[in-house]
Amino acid sequence: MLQTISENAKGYNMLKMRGVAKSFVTKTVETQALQPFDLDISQGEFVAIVGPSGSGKTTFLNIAGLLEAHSEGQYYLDGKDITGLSDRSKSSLRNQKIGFIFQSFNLIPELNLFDNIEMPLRYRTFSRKVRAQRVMEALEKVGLAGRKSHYPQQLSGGQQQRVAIARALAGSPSFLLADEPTGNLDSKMADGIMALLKDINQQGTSILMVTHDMDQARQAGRVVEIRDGYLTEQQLALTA
Amino acid sequence: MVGYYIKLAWLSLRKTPLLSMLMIGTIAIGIAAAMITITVGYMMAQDPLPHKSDRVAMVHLNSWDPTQPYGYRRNGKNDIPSTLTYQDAMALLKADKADKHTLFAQFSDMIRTTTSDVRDAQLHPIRSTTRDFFDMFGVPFIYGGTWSKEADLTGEQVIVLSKHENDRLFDGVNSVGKEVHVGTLLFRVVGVIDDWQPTPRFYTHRYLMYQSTLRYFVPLESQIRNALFSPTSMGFSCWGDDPNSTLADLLLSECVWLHLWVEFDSVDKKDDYFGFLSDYSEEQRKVGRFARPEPNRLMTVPEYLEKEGALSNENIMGIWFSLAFLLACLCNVMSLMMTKFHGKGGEIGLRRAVGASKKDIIIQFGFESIFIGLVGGVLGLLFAQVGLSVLADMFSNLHQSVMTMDIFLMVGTVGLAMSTSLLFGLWPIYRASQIQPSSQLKSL
Repeated sequence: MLQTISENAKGYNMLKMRGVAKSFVTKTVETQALQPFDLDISQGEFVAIVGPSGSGKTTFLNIAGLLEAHSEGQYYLDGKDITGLSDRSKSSLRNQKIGFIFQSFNLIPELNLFDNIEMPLRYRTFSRKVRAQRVMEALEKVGLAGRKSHYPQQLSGGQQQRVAIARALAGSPSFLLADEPTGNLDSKMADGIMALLKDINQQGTSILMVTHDMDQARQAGRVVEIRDGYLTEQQLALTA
Repeated sequence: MVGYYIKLAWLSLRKTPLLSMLMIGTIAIGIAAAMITITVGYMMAQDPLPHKSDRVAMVHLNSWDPTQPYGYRRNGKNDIPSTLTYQDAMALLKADKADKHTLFAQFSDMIRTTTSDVRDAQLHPIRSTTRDFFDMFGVPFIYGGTWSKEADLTGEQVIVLSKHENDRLFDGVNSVGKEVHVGTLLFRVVGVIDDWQPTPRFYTHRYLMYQSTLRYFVPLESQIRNALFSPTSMGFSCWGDDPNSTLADLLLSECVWLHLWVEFDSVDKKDDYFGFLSDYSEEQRKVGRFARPEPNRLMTVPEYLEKEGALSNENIMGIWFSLAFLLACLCNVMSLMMTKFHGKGGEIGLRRAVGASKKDIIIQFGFESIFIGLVGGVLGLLFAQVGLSVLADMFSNLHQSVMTMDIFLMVGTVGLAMSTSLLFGLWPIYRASQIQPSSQLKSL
C-alpha cells in the first residue's frame, strides 16, 4: 500500500519522495525496512520523525541524507532527481544542500572547533578567507565565537552539539537532518539545543529531526511517525 | 588541499602513536636493509668511466703455456691472462696503434722526504706506469701534472703523489719540484693528485677493485732502469722454466705482469685495433709463441668488470634477499594500515556525510600513506647510514666509497619508502573508501 503524506506540505518542495521504499537483501532473506511512501517537505518546514526503536527512522534519515540508496521510487532533492547519481554527484549534493547533526555530535577530537566546522567547506572551492568568514558566522550563530581554538573535549555536551550545528550550518544547507540531536544531553541542554534549532528554522532552513521525545516532536511544525516501516502523518496538538 | 591533507596525516599519526611507530619502524627497518645491500651493489656496479667506458679497453693476449690453460672463467671455459709479458707490452706500446696507451705495474719500496730520518721511511706500494694513466682514467690534479713523454722514454726519476701523502710528507703545500727518496733513489715531485677513488677500481684485478688507489706513481721506465724489483708485491704469473729472480730476468721471461689499457677517439677504431692484435699474435706464432687456441681479448671497461665479476652473484642474491625482507615488512605495514584505517571508520563516515567523495577519502589516506613512507624513509636512511658505517668498519679492506650513499641513492631511499608505502597502502585505502558512511556515524 502506497502511503501519501504530503497534505501538510506547502510552498516549494525541498524534498519530494514518490514511492520510495527500502529493503535489505541477503542470500537467504529480504527485509523490507521501509514500505513504499510518498513524502513532500517544503522549504522552511520543521518536521519531526518519531517512532519506536528499529522502526526505520534512521534508515529513512540515511536515505533522505543520501547516505544510503533507496531500493524503489523517485527521490527529488531541491528539484533534482537523485536516482542513479554518481558517488561524486551525491557527495556534492550532500555538501551543498544538507547539514547533518548527530546524536553523539561526531566532532573529530584532534581538530579544534574552527577546523571541525571548516570540514564541509574544505570539500568546496572556497578561498581561505571565505571559509574563515563562514566558520566565524556559524560559531556566532551558536554562541561560541570566542572558542574557535578550543578542542571538543574542552566543551560540555551541549556546547559540543552547538559546534556540530555550526558545522552543519557553515555550508548554508537547504535543510538540516538531525538524528536525535538531544539524545545525549540533559534536559536543560536539550532545551537550549531545541531553541537553537527552532531559531535556525525560523530563519528559513528546513529541518528534518528524528526524535524519541514527543515533547520535542510537538515543537516541530509537523510530525511523521514511522512504525514497522510504514510512514504516517501524526495530527498532534502543536504547542510550539 | 595538499597542506590540509598533510596536516590531517600528521594529526592521524599523533592520534595513534604506537601504531604509527610500528608502521614507520617497520618501513624504516625494511628500507634500511634493502638500501644497505642496494648501496653496496650499486656502488660496486657503477660505470667508473661513464663518458668513455666503451672507448677504453684492456688488452688480453694469450701468450700462456701451450700445455695447460691459464685458468678457468666462471662459466668453466679456459681463461687467458689479463696481463702481458714485458716484450709483448713494449711491442704494442711501440706500435702505437691506439690513440692513448697506459701500461702499468706496481712495486713496493721505502719512501721518505729528503729532510726526514731514514727510520721514518714507510713501505708503500708504488704504481709504475706511463704518462697517459692520469688522463685516460680521469685522475684530477691539484698541483702540477703528469710527467713528460721524455720521462716515459728515458725513465726520468719523477713522481706523482696522492693528496694524502702530500699532506703527510709536505703538510699539504705545493710540493712540485721537491724530492722524495724511493728506496735509495731521489725522485722529483711533478704532480699531486686530488682524492681519487674510482668505484670499482676497474683497471686492476677483481680482488683489488674495492681497495684504495695507490698513493705514488712513477714512470714504468724508471722502475726498469733502476731495477726496482719487489717480487712479493709485483703480482706476476709465470710458466715454463725461465728464471725470474731479478727484474732483468722478468723482462726477458714469459711471465705476465703488465696491464695494458688503450683508448680510442671513436668506438669504430676498436675493431681495427683487435685486427692489429690478431696480426701481432700471428706473427708471434710464426716464431713459436702464442700456441694456445683461446683467442685474444680487447675488453671495454664494462666487459672487463663483467668478466671479473665485479658485482658477484652473492651481491645480487643479497639484494634479492633484502628486497624480499622489504616486501615482508611492507606486508606487515599493509596489515597495520588496514587496522588503522578501519579504526577511522567513524571519521570516514562523517567526512562522507559532510560531502567528501570516495575520491576525497582515497586522496586523504593516500597522503597519510605517503607521509608514513616519508617518515619511515628518512628514519630508514639514518638506519642505513649506521648500518653502512658498521659494515665499513667490519670490512676495512674495502674502500669506504663502496659503503657510502650518493645523493641519488639517498633520494631514492626516501622515494622508495614513499612509493612502496603508497603502493601497499592502496588496498587498505580502497577498503576505507568503501566504508558505508551510514554504518559508521554512531561510532566516531
